Amino acid sequence: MTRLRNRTPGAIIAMATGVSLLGLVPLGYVVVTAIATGAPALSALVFRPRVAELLANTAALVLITVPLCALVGVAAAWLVERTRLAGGRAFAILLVVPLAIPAFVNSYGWVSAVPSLNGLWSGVLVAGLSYFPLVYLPTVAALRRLDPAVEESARSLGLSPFGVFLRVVLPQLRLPILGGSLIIGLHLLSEYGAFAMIRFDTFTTAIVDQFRSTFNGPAANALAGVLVLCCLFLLVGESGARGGARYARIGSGSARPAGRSRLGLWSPVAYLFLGVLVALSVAVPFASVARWLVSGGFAAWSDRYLLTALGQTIGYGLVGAVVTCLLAFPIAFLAVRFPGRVARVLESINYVTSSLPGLVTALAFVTVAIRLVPALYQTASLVIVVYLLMFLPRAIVNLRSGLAQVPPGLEEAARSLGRHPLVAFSTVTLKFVMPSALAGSSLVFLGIVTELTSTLLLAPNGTRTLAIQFWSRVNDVDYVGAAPYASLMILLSLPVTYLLFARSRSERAAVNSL
Amino acid sequence: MNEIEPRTIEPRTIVMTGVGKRYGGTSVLESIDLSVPTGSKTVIVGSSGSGKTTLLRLLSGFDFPDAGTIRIGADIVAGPGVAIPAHRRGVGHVAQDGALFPHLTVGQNVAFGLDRHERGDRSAIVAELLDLVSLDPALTSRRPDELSGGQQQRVALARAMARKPGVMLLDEPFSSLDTGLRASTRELVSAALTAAGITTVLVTHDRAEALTFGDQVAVLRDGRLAQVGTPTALYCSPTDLATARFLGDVVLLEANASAGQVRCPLGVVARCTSLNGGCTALFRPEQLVIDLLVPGVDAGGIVARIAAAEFQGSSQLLTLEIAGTSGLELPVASGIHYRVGDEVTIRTIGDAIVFPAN
Repeated sequence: MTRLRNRTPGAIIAMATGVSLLGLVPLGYVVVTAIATGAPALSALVFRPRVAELLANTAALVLITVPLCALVGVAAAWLVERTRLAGGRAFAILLVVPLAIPAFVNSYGWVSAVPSLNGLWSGVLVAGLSYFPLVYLPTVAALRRLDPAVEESARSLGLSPFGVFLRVVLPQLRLPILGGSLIIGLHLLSEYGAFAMIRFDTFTTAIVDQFRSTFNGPAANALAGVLVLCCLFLLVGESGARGGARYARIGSGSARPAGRSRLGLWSPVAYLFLGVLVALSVAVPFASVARWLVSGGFAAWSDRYLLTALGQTIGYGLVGAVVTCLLAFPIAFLAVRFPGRVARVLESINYVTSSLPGLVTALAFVTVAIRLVPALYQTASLVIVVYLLMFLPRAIVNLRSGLAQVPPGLEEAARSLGRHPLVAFSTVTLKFVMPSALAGSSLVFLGIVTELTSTLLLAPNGTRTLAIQFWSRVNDVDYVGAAPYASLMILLSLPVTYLLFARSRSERAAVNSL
Repeated sequence: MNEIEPRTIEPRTIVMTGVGKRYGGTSVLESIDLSVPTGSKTVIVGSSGSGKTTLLRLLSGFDFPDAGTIRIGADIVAGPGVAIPAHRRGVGHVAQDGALFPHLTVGQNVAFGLDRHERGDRSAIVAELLDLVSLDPALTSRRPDELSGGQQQRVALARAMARKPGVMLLDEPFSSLDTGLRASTRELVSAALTAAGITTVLVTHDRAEALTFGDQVAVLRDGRLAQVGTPTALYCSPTDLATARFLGDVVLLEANASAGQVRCPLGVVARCTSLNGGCTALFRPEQLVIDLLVPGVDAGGIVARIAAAEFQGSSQLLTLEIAGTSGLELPVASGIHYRVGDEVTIRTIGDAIVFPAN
């Protein structure tokens, strides 16, 4: 008789290992090219004023935007979750909407409204408005899961409501704040379109420009190496700040919703803050898109590539989502059913890889394809592989939490009722995991639909996704022609964004992998 | 070594008058009158949904009553136009599972409520408080999740005592502990509170806890206080059948009252002038003593036949056939082995409690 649960299944390990090895390609590429370039050439490429300028720009962007986003995200989450503000639920939804607007579309909206935008502070404004929900959303989820009895204890120990927030609530929000800030930092490092539009130079915009204008391998590779170091620096910094603390609720008391504060005289200030936030992050980009749509009229929709682009985008999105979910399954399965060092290593490789800018992953695979497998160069398969590595953790996180919720006893019950282990697995466990698989695939789909940078680099000639078409219209200063593409990307993203919102309010958290 | 200022506590009295609380359209508490004398321990006992946790939250200041007033010591803390919030009441509160701060160590938890000027002697005060609840000072640097449930509860108590509250409120603090741990933790907590002389209110659904912990027991049923009194008074003279059943096992017999005497199949079991006609006589099982009938010896009492005997470990449940009854179930100690068909005599100790028939 097969003993499925006691022996680590070889086939699953092999698949998980295969995916993870693929994930090592980008890092390997950076290391190998650095060695191949040689120390003197490399230092000449790295230690020059241009790199220092880019480093200063990028560092300033991260150092200003991340704390701002954390502040705004936490304040908004607290107002929505913990005060008796009328219309709190409407704000709760509106504050997630920026996630449905790709940063480069937001930037387009802002440039349309204020054409003079450029430089660091414009970058901070646009990126901050695009990314603050990445702190807001996990903070909302964490606030909903905190044990209200702990806060009541603090009050009975003599703390005022504000004291409770500072000394008890805020420390317990450390993990979502750090996690969200890390993701924002990584986004800032890898975003291209939003900053290119307002002519703010970061490493990523410089690498893309270099690559597209001169196809200058060594220079782009050296910049990519520095960029990767920046990413690893953020990763290490975050995990160091996180420490070993465990903040889960200790007790098992009945869950009661936490109390909400009355704001009294502060209400107008709170409304002003939330109102301005929503106006800047949602109303401005929507109004700009609407304005261009109106001025373009029906003619703008008769763009002959519009349907092609929609079809290609949905096609890439669906194929990418399915492939990613299927290949994430072995890794998630090992992590849940056979936890141990092997599973941990395989999983963390994929987290590190997906933290690298998509641009670096794309550069790596372009180079590898040209040198080793020319047949793959300029194919859709290569695009899918890069999408897979970029978005794999979104699927893993969801599948893992889904698998962890399936009681193994159910599968065993099915086997004791005479089902073959594989049948038991697929009829019982897979059914339970389906919702998580769908959620994971939706997030991958969202990522692919709004992906611009690596698609630009990798896509076979003639590829016209919504993002690529949008970008080429914008580059031709055809803002009217870009509007239909922008609105379609937002429309495709909205349902998935709502799913994220709904999940942040339920017990299951899966918002930390964007 | 630093001389520590003696940490004196000034216990305060609690008086609730006509307190009512509604959630939405439902009334959770209605006209509650309760006073807890200075330095005494009162247990509020009730089944789940009886409103006991709400009552405690009104005392701690996490919720406010819709009617009536609550007085703690000399101050009205809740009433018409008055609503003192929890952090200004100086009332200690220990939640169901301790509610320790997960991001702080044990020592930081205990020191959390200390005043600024006390921070200097912090470690000495923390050690003193941990000692008060019989915890090893070595636990100071541990995280709450590294402690057992009983230890967590005691840290929570030490943390609440650090504020020197005149009143301590305990919300089912032992219910999440294992049976053995529950009794020992309860004794420890009770001893620590008695030593400090703090006025204490404990909320529980456990009748053993209710009868052993407090000087006064208040039975809460459907948002109203059914009876308030000493544990002995409540156990021995409950004012209604539901309270009697809630606080212990009962044996019920149909009875008849006439001319001031209550008669049931076990004979005249009580004197009662207020009732006439059919009524119910209630005995606690320990009031009924049975002996095997020895032929030829008249031991007195009523003769019964054992119709069924069910072994239950330390006790056995006998079903007794007595003339004039439909059978009587009585738990007795397991020491003597009874067999079905044995004849026994039943003696009663003390009077029955008599209630009007349904």
